[in-house]
Amino acid sequence: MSTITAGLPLGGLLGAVWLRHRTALLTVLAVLAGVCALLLVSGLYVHAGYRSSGAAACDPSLLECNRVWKDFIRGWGAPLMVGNTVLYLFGGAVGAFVGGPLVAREFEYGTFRFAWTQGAGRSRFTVGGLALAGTVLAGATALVGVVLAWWNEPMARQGGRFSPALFVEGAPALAGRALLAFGCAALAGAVLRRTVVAVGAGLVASVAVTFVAEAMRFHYRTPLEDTVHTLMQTSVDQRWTGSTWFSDPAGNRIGSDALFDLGKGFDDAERLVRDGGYAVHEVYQPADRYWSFQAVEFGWMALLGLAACAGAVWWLRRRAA
Amino acid sequence: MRAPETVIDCGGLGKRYRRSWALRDCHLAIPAGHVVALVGPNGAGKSTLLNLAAGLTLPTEGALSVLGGELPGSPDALDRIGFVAQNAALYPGLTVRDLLRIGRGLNRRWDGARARAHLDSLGIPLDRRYGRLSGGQQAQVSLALALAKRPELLLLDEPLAALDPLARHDFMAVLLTAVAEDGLSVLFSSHAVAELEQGCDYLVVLAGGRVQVGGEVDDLLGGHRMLTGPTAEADAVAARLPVVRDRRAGAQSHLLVRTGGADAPVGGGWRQQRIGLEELVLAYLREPAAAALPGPSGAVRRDERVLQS
Amino acid sequence: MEEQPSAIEFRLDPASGVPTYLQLVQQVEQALRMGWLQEGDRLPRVREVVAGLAINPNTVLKAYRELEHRGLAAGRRGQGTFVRGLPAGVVPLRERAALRRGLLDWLRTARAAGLDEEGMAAVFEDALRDLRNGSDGSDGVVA
Repeated sequence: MSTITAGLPLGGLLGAVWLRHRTALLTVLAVLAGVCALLLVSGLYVHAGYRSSGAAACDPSLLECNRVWKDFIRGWGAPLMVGNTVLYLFGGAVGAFVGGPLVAREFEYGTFRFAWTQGAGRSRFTVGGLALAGTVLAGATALVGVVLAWWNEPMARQGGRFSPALFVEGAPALAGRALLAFGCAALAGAVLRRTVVAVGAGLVASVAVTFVAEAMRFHYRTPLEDTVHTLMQTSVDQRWTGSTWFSDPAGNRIGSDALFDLGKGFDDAERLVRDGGYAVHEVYQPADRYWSFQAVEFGWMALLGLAACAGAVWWLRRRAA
Repeated sequence: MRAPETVIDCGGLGKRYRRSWALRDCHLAIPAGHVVALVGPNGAGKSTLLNLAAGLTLPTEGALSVLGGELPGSPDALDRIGFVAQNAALYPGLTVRDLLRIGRGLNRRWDGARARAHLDSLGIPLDRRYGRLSGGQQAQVSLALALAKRPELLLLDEPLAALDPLARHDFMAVLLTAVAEDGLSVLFSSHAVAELEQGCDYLVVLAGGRVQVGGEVDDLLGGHRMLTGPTAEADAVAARLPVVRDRRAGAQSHLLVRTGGADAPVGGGWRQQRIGLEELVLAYLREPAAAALPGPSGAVRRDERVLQS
Repeated sequence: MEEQPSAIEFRLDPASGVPTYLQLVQQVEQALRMGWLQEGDRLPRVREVVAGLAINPNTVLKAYRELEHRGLAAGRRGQGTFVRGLPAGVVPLRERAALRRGLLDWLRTARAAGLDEEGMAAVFEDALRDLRNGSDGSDGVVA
């Protein structure tokens, strides 16, 4: 019994694309599940140490808590140190491993001669695959980001969530970086037709974008400014301080060296600032902007990833009518 | 929908890869309803022509239309044309059943029941992974997937190359049965000419990227004669008749001539007989300057160059 | 609708030099002569022949058209092609058996008269030639 349908039903296309990419996606999900399991196990260990060392009860803004913190890190901090370093560099790698083979493998195995001669055509097939894999990737990495937020609680409490290593592990930022790596790897695979090279390109993009993002991140939103009259740390919130500058009583900007030269050291400078009309200006991003920053980072990275995917589809299309 | 008269129509078709031309100045008008054999040496451009017709690549120059005016690779063409690639490359990790499902999801017209029944009758298990099937079974699965689309034109790139003789017979039997049932047109390329004689009724010979021979097999075989006779008279005969290939020994010569269907008008000293398809193809391949192309009326041309060897 | 299996099956000799469709025609004619096919029998379906021999369906159609042309078969729409007439020179089985017995008697007589096998064959070919040329007195028609 043959059936003729007017347009190509979307459900059928998605089903076909799922079957095609099922193995790769299930593998990625299994790997990420393994990562989560690892995080859970090491996280329980770290959290136990956090409590037992007394660092959990200690207020990070107090000077004496520094010693307690250092003891905790020395005793239980290794997983956090190692994990955060790895994730900082390679947190987006999973995107490269998903995106690289997506198109390149069709060329390597020659299966594109089958896939592209079906009624759906090469564009719909490729777009369907990219959309499905991208969605699964984004969702899975976001979940890992949620687990990471719990895992990194000690670090977040100590240094703030805006610190570079921690910020990239937020669910939106992690998903965004993975999508960008995914898109770059897919585009490289479409152009170069080699899986290994494509994955490599995605990895390079993923690492490079981490550093680019770090340089740009502070400027996602116009920062606020606080004027205080003490050199001591006054803020008890988890704000992100970008820079500090000083002004003389007339309001002119002076360098920190000049300020300290006026007196004979820290105490003199402190007196000047407190009583002498000098002021400290703190340029910062308040802590409650964390999620909007995550959204911005996800936004531009995901957009670039999407553009790379569109580029891949465009590249494949231009070889036919 | 009215059935098209020609399934492949190209004029001045050329395809260049980097520096060399895989096809050059190709003119073809292959009529519908035939099983067409595309033969020629390696590198003659057979795969290129099939890839162009399937819409997998674009011509460098010239035009190609399929199914009476469709652009290759257009959605309409993709619906109505089935393609089986060389070595039948499909996803090795997927089961046959999965592959059928993929086909159903990617095509507007799909006869899955027929494909499944057909594979059952061949004894191919639907739940085995494609990569674990034998070469012959893989070829049958690829063919079943292409036929399940119910195409009007089926393109096959060297489908028999990796198959043992039994698998080849089974493959051709299935293919020709589908032709008998659905009336579809088939174009397939092959190295082995001898096997094609049974199945094909239209022949295209590609050599050096150009079309050398094109026409119905019956017309071609009926329109040639192999004359065997005394060398002393060979020149006289060659002057009168269009000779494709001329082989002379001391006393005896063989002349392959084109007669346009009738027996050659030669005297009693000459024996004449029809030749088989393989001998015909080999003769033309050995004489690159000769050609047998259908004229506007489809008849074999009579005013070809005469060769002197 | 119950369909009987076909009475004959085709085979091919690719090396014989005879065009395929003619081989099919000749096999049908021979089957008729030998009595394997009777009037009204259905010839194998095109699809079956193609599936069995892996030949082009047009070849089978051409063969059946030739058989129709020779008056040996007729196609019935949707039902297949059926044997209609018998080729000239076909004799029913009972008559053929009688003829064979007569010939054996003559052969025994010839051997008793002293002829060896080659001698018998020579006499036979002479007589056949006479029949062909009509010099035996009757109008011989060669099949």
